[in-house]
Amino acid sequence: MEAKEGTRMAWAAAVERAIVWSIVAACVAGGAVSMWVLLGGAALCYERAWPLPYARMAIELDALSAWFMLPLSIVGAAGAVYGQAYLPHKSRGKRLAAWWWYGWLLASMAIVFMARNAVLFLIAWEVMTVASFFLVTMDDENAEVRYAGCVYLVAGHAGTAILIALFVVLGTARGGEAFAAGGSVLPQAGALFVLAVAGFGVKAGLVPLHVWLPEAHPAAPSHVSALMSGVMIKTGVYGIMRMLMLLGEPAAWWGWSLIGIGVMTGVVGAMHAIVQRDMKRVLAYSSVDNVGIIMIGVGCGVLGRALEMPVMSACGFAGALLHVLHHGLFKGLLFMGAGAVVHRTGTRMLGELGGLARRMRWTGVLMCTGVLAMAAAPVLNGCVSEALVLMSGLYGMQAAGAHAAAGVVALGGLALTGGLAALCSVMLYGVAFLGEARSRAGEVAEEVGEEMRMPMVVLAGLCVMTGCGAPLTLMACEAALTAVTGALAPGVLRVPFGLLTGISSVALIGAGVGAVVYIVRRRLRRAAMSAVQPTWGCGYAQPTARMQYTGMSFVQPVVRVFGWMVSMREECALEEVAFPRAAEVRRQVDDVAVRRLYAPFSVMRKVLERVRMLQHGRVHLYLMYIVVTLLLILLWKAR
Amino acid sequence: MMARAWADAVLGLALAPLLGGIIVRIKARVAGRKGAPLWQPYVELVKLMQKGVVYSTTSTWMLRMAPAGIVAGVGVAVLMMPFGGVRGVISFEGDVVVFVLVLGVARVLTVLSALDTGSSFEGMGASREMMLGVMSEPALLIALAVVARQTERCTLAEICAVAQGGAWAAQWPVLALVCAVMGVMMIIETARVPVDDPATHLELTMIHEVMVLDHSGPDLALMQYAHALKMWVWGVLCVNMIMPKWSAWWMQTLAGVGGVVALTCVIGLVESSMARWRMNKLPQLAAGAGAVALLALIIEMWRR
Repeated sequence: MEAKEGTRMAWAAAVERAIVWSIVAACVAGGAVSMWVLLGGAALCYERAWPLPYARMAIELDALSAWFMLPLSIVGAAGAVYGQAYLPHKSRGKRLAAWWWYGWLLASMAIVFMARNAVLFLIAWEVMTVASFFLVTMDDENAEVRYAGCVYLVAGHAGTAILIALFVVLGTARGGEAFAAGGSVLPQAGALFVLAVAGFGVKAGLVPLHVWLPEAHPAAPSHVSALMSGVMIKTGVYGIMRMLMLLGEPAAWWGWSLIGIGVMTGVVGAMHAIVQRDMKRVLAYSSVDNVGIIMIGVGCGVLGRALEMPVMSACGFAGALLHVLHHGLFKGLLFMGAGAVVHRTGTRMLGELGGLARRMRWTGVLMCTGVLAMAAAPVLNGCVSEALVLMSGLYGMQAAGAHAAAGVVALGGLALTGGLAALCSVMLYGVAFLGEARSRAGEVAEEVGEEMRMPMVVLAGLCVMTGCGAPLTLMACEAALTAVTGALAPGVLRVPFGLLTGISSVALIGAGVGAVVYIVRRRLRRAAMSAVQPTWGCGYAQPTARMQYTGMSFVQPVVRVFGWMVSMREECALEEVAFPRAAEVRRQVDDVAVRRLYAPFSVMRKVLERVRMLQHGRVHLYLMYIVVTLLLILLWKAR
Repeated sequence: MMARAWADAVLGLALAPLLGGIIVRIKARVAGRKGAPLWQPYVELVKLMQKGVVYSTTSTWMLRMAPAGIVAGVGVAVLMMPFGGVRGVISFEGDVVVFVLVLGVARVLTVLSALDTGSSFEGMGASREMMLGVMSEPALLIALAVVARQTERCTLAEICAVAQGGAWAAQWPVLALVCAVMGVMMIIETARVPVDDPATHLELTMIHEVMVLDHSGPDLALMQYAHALKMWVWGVLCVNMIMPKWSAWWMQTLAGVGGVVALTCVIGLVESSMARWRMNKLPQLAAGAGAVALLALIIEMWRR
């Protein structure tokens, strides 16, 4: 009996390994083909008729699709390897289900990037939402996770509803083919643009449509969070970029509104990131702020194109496209690092962690790489794309008249976002990994195994490579870039290439100088004595770990200035008596959009409760609804 | 040209610690004391270099490696900064953006190494430093961008050569506002009075000094040297904004050094005559600088 159980276990493990490595192989193949397309290969097409109305199996891997496929294949493969060790070993069925949906998620995202037919696109889009929903709700014994899944599903479908409207209008205007490129500028292009930003913005997490993101991303298993934050929100960015390509010459107000939305998304997202107490929620909100950075880049690109300022346009789009890859890499790394912490300590709460860098050395170094990339430190990749977008804003300020103001909004907004992101990175690493452990959970943590470390090492290595070899990345991106900017005059790309070469040389020189200084200093130290002592407590002899700065106290000065952007309530129960007893401070942070924007909609509920009469659970009446609806449509058509 | 750029960078690396000595000397003179010799900071650096190191039991590799990284970051900023009418050693289109990012990484590393000790005092300084960073970076970038708009170029060399053309005669209101912003930024970034008092005794009121509490020996020397370099970079940046063109190269170099020394004297006098501000006034100072930068932009936009 036991032997039989043992063989079955071994079989299941072998099947799982086979699944994982075939996912990895598929990702590697996809990445390789995408690289081939990006480095000058022709676009790959595949077309077949489909027996669905308005549908064709039309797939094309052009430069833009290939560029978005890159982070998908990298983070997808890394996540698969990581997930093997990360998924809980309790239930075999659940593990297989997780891989099933993981595979569907990867495949549907690939189709979303490559689809050239509206129906196919929408089907893939829905499969993507549903597959990720099942992954988010993996841990469904937890009420919070169920709530997160519900919010996610509602938001996802609301977004799809807008997209259906978008494709219906676009398809009708283009004679049935929504993805037909190169038509004339449509009269309803402005409305289509708004629909695209709203519909894709839900998936991308643009403020105020982001509310599902900080619920859903932390709830998923960490390798899925990495994939969702690193890549899946980029499907929204991809959708907006693809629509911009299909809609033709943009108007200036598109650029203005994208810059405005981007700045709002960036600043509000970063502000929310710094006040979270849950590590994965910090990362989820920081994804919102990074999408803001991407949107500022896209906005600058669009505005530059509308104003016929090609350098501004090229820098903006280049920054946005590179940030898609860079954010995918470092956010994937960070979520996996956070997952390693959860795996070993069992908690995501920053207030219970601390000092992990000494106990989890590998994870500490890797996590530090990730946060420095997020803080836009040269040598790592985050600063490359941020510098390009800043540069675009700088060029935008050269515009004549009022349009220069868009440049300064982009520049100032991005600088503020970047500053807050740096604060968030420092807070995250400083509280969780430096200092002393704040609870027992943090004290007993051990390093995670090789299977979880290797994917993180690969991602961290890619962060360094794309940071130091930025011009090469841009070279790979060039075809995708010219697809969104339109044809560029020769010499325009000299500016972004020059900037990136400069950044790379600064990074290499800085790293070299740092290494030399460090080595020289070590030699000095060897001659002298080095001792290890407790941290100096300014004369206080009994320091405890609870006296350390917490995340909340670390960001307090900034919250005092920008706190109005987040909805934070503080209750302090302090009795006004002669000898006060223990006091209690409660602080609750809610999403500002949920409290200020969506809360008023609860009035709607009263109205909609009436409509609930229709939902009574009697199937024969439901069938009648269908019949009546069909009849009405028939009558309307036959009229 | 390249040889001169290198010579200027070496000059900066050599002269930077002098600035701290000048400030201390001026403060002493104003207070009626004789004061330490001007080369005192060099003596201190050499002394610290010869000392042993004490590390906190709490600390990790961050505390050991960050000082080198910080010196590298600020050192690269020195290499990028034009001086005496000559472009920096590293100069490319858009370097102004990278310059801000490089100073940012020095700040982030300082803060991380402070948090590495787990001390609440250092956490305090780190938290304040990050707040000032968040507030001042947008103002700095906008101020630089206003000059970039005026010169229509995005290189530090061109931005810093703004005073060498006739821009001050034609556009003095914009440039004066920009200079005011730069001055405030210099005070904030180099942690001088009224933002931070380097000579204070109470850890609770410090910003920069409290972050280096647990650094010792060569590490402390590196931190102090990096801070001196930062003062040099900021001084040069501010002086570049007003320095006219001189005929001979040695006059330009001399004027550059003289300008930085004069600016340092002004900082010393300010420091002797006023107290540190309350901490909650600092965001207002930084935000005010941002507002002035925007005002400069509006005037500049009205021109064109």
